[in-house]
Amino acid sequence: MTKKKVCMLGAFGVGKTSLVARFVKSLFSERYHSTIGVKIDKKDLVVNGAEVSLVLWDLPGEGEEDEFQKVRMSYLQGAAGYVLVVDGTRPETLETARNLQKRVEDTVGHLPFTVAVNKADLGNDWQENPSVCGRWQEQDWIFIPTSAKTGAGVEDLFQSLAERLVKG
Amino acid sequence: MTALPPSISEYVLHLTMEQQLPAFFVLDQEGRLCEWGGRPERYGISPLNQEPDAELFPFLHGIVPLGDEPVFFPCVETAPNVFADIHVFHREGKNWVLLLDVSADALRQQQMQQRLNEIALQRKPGN
Repeated sequence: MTKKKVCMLGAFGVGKTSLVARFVKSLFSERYHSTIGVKIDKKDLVVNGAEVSLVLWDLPGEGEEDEFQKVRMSYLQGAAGYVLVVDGTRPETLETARNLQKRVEDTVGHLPFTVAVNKADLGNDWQENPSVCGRWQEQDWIFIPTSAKTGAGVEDLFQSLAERLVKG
Repeated sequence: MTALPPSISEYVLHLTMEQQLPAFFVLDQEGRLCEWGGRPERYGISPLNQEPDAELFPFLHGIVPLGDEPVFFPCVETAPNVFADIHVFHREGKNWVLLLDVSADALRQQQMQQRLNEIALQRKPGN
């Protein structure tokens, strides 16, 4: 079976761990639990008729100001792609995602990625605001609204990324 | 750098063995397990089962076949509430994987980070 390592990246509190828990175990907890270190999970998918195993690395959240909360890029060694998670209720987490994406490109090189706009169940009006989102769309980033709480968009997020990874 | 006297290096070794519970594995170039020792059970790893290696070592996926460059993955949760610093390196013709327990530090850091993040989230506009 083909295996693909996928890293979850984003600011703290955006729901990276919750997205993985929803996708892998169909679980959701309202309680916020900050991630230290890395938790590795696995889920098998079928992509174009072939089985693919996603090895998901849930990384700690990036702090916006705290140097000690910078994600170590060494975790991305061997990754086939990554998910950039932003919180749809905290537009500033887009900036953190942009910084992370640049650091990945600078240190690891180009890898396929998808942006999960999480907490869609809470309403994400800023996604429709061109002054906030316009420059992101210009970069051809792929945005998928998700809700780890309801499960909306979660399967689509990982399935679509897996399809791109398999396509190479 | 001056060499450490034996008393110090032995003391450091003793501390590491007591507190960081090392486990080691020797792998071939394709990542197949050849030898192991130390405390693998501490990390939820059961080499005796001889599972396919990618299942035994999910953290190695993507870096096998192993190169000459050392790899370091800090603070990986290998079992519930068990965190290890993982060192992968090539020495004396063998590929070594070394796990050192950092659970106590990780759990302390988690509690502190949790408080800091909660405060930061409460300060956000609209909260």
